[in-house]
Amino acid sequence: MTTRDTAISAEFEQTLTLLGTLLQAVNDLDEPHDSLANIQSIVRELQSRPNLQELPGMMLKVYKEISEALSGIRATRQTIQNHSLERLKDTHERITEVSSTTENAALEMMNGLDRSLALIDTLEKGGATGADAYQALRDEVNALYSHLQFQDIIAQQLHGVTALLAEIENRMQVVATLFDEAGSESGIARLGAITAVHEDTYNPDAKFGDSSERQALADAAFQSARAPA
Amino acid sequence: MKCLVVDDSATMRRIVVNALKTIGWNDLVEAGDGKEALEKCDGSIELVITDWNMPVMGGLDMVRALRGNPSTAKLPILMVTTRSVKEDIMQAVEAGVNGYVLKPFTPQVLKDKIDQVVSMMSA
Repeated sequence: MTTRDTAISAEFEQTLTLLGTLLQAVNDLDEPHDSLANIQSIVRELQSRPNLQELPGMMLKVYKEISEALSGIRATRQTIQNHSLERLKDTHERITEVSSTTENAALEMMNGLDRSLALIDTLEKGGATGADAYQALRDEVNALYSHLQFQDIIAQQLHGVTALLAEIENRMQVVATLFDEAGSESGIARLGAITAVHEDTYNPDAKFGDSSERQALADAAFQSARAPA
Repeated sequence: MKCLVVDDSATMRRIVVNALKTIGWNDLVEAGDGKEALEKCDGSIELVITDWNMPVMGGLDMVRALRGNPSTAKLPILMVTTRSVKEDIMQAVEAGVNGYVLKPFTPQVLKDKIDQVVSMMSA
């Protein structure tokens, strides 16, 4: 708001106060005292106020700003409803999947460690041929390595959740800004400036379970894509 | 035989390297993104195993760059990724990927795919 707008707003308040006094004076006309002279005095003072001519223009400007702010809020609300709320519903499922992935990977690793310990016990007791037992132990340890892939998978899942929450936070910021800037064009323009989350560095749909089944489907899709048209 | 392992996750690179060592690949080079991989991809590399989602340069862009270079156009390339939808797989094939492995994988699956890809490209 400019300095001039602020000054006009202050004078406008005083004008409204005078109008209120005028109304009171009109209401007091029935009273037996010198209300008419009082009314004339107030009217003359109102006539002399320059801001009264500015009043219609200022009211129109305020109406326009409020309309733009409401329009911006409606657009943001619709965008939030269309996009973010749906994704919010996914967030709980994704976080649950992260927890499940971690637990399953931990269980697989503990199972592998148990088998490894059993093999070590066997070796200590001399109950198996050396080479086979050592190879079996080596296989179990290598399998443990493979289970650690859960770290990469849940990192990508968590990136997806973080990106979603950042998007919602950005949209909330824009709504808050709309009130500060009274629905100015720059505030509304920022609605369009919220960029989509870049998924170039992670896959929010990364999965850990059913790896054999998913690999079989991928193999079929790969062969189909390579087949000549 | 020399293999280039490309993944932005240091954990995943170690896992792939460990799996490769169990199946006899011991001459290994690592890169953290596609751009670094292209810089390290000299004439001695015989197999590339790459992730899809990486910063700076992703796996598909790197594959396209390798296929566009006559000296690496026939290099066996295996994609190891979490992306499992059909459209992604088709995109990978169109870019020039020779084999596709989903994470999480077992060393045996990786070995089988490497064998397929290497024999396919040398045929």
